[in-house]
Amino acid sequence: MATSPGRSPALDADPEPSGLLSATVVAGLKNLGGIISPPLTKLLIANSLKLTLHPDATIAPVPELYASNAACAKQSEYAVVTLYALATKHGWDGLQLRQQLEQLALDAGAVDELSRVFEDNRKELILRQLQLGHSFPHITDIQWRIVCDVKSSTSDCSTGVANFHINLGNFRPSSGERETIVEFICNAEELQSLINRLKEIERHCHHMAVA
Amino acid sequence: MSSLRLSQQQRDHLTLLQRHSSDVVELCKSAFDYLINGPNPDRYEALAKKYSDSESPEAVQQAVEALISLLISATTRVGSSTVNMQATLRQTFPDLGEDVLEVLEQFVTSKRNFVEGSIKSANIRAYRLVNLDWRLEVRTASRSLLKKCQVVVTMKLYLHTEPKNENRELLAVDMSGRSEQELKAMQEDERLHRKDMLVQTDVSSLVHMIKTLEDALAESKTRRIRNIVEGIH
Amino acid sequence: MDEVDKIIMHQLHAVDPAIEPTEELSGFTPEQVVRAVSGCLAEIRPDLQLPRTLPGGAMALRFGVASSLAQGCKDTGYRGDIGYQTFLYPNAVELRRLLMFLIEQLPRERQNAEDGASKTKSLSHRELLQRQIRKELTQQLKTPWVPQFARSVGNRKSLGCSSLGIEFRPNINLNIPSANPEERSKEQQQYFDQQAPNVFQQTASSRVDLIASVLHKNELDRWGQVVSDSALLFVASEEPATPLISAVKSAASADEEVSPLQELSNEVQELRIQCETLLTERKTHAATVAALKQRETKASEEIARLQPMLKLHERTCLVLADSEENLVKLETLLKTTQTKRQTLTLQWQDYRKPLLESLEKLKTAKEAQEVQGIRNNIEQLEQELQAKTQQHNELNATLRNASQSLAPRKEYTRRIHEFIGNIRKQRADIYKVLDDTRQLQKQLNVVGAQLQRQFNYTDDLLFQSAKHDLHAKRAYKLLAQLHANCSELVECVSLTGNVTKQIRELEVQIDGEKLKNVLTSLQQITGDIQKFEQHIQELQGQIRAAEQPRAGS
Repeated sequence: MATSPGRSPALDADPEPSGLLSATVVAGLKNLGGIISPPLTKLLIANSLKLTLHPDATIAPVPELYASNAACAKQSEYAVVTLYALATKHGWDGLQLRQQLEQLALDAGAVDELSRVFEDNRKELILRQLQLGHSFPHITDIQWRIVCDVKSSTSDCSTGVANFHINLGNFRPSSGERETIVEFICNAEELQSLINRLKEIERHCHHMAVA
Repeated sequence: MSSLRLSQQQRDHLTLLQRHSSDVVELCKSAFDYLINGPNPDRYEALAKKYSDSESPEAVQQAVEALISLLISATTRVGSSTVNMQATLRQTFPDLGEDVLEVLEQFVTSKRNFVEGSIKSANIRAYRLVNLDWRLEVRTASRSLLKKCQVVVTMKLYLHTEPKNENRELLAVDMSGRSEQELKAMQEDERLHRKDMLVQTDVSSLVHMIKTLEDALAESKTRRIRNIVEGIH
Repeated sequence: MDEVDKIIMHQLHAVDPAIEPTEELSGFTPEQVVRAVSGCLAEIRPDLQLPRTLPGGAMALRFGVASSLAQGCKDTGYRGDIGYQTFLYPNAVELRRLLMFLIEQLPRERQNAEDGASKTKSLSHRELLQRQIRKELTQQLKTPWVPQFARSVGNRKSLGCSSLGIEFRPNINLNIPSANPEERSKEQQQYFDQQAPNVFQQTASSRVDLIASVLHKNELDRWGQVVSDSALLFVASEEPATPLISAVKSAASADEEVSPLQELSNEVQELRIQCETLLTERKTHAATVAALKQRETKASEEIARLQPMLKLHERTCLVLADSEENLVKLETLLKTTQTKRQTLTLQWQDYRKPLLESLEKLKTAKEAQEVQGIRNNIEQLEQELQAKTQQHNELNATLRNASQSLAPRKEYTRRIHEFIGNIRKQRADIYKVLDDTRQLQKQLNVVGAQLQRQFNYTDDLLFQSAKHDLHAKRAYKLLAQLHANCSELVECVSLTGNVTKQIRELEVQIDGEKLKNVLTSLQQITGDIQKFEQHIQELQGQIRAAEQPRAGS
């Protein structure tokens, strides 16, 4: 276990089988189960996954992870995160991941652990990566208020019409704090036409869904 | 019904009204022209010459401006009840002839709509929604996920701070006879008052949005809200 | 109407093969109705769990099934009058309306899906994507709204619409120990071991994203090596070091006096000129070298050409040196070779004969085989032809049947055009009638007004004279009476009009009710009620029977 495991012929034939992993990642994966002991490997994988899924999660510090061979541990953390990111990006399932890893001649226990954790958390990983990429401000929340002025600095009497203040926004994922994207006012007719517009979109969606 | 509050200076400027009603009509026309096109010194000079008795063009311009201020304060003070307009005017100008008062009342009531919308919502200008463009998108791949199917509704909101559609139309003047600089200034103004926003949402949220907005609209039509609005009015 | 029924039955047959397209809609039993409607509903909303058949026995069960189906139809958006009675006591008109609605709601994709299923997996990416989009859209339209902060949990199953956007912003300077530990210097190793932050600490800032960073770095590592060789030049040209040095140099030289600078520049100039002349010299030398090389190759070619000729000449010289003896020798040699050749030809003849014979044999055998093959082929083709003609006949027959049973599309369009024409005509008629009515109304108004004026005038006139004249007074009274009577008459006429209108409406309603053949339905209902009563009595009997032994014990 401590020394390098039995070399498979695949390694000799093809030094970089998947072609997607950089040498650093491969080196980091090879540390697992070898330079880094199996229990620590398990811990490292679990930690990396948790921090990937929840960037602001707080994890109890694990000093023994960096006690010896801290450089290798840092390399391996990077390697695990990258491996999972790439596997998710290319839509691999657990089996495909295992096949790719087996070609790299890694420690068998590490391969088992890596594929098991990936299989268990595949959906979360996809969800996490689905969010990544450019997008416009996303509206998820809408607030309104009916307003009628009583008196103003420029007019002594009320307009006598109720207006709508409409506020479109969303919630910041990290803090849960509400963020306003756009705010505007409109009167009843304008609101009705806005609703009609939005219903037109909905109708179109229905059309697409059925036809 | 109380009289309109006018400063002594304004009253002085309005002494020109103590003339024949046809002259007052001319002045009122000038005032409306002022509202649309700004001051017109040539016209005032011609008017001053017509009055001949030692009136300067400046005095005519001041009278015109005082008329506008009268229009604004009349619109501000007196609500929608047109009945009281004449009484108010009479109280404000007890020394004016009946026919002149009639002309004034006509001037104030006819141009009232023009001023009203602008005044009432002029103090705090919020954005109004003018138009909305939309597009249904499906995102099929990204750098971090090569295969996905994400349905997104992208919308462009056109917002404008101008008080109201109809007023903007009223204020719209033909572009033909304007200089390059003026046009530029108008465009700049347009740019300052406009904001276009690109936003997106998902279909589920869209459905929710429609429902919420409809609730708002329905709420505004309830008896309770109507009573409150009418009570305020 | 029967055309519509035909179309409906055709569609129903496609939905549920158990329903024969030849059946009549008016002759549908409740069982068939339930079957047809639930089949359609299952197609429209596959997620709905609906009973497929109407149970035969207990009325309560039948009632439950019919009610649930009615609810299902309402949920699908059917606006008409529907309830359990539609299923249990069907009448043709309502049923037709319901089925037409359901068939309109049927998903269009069904036929395509059937085609696709027969071909299996021949779906293109485009179709797959469309299907996926459709699925996604229906899902989003159907699922209840989930607040944003609960979406990562609530929408987990549907894999998406978390509505959260993270920009793809990598930390481009991710610092990770490289693959080979040997390459690292001692200081670097120490740094990585002790001070370097791990990958999570490096991406902890909210401006960058962990996954974006690692993807970026991985790609950079993979492609950086590949492009580095070709990119070296580019990198070197970007190097800011060289201009820096020259700038320093020029600054240094500016500090010195002018004359040595001049000297040096002169020297440089000279050296440059020298260099140029040397370069031109070198060029001319190179040209001469090239020319010489060309000549050399030409000469070597000439030599190669001349050498074999030289050899030939040498041999002939040798032969000619001792001509007599050599001639004899050559003649003997000639003779021996001739004899040798003769024996060889003989031998060849011997070998050749059997070979030729076998060749001949094989040729004939092959031809025979070919003929046989062709014959077989012909036979096969004949059989095929027969099969094809048979098929053709069959298809012809079915075609004839089909064209007979279902009138061709042309016919339909013609009829539809006819309908449209009729409707147009009717519309024009209606407009005409409306115009006429309006005209009449106008005339009536005019006449009425005229009459009123006339009356007023007469009234005035008579009133004036009534003050003095007794006859006029009477006439005035009579006029008033006449007026009252006339207005009564007018009222009567309008009342009659109203009544006729009501009568007509009632007639229409009566016709509608008649169509529903209430009598049979009533009979059925009374029968069902009797069944119910029977059932209840049975149950009561059972209860009594169950109670008695208990009481007895």
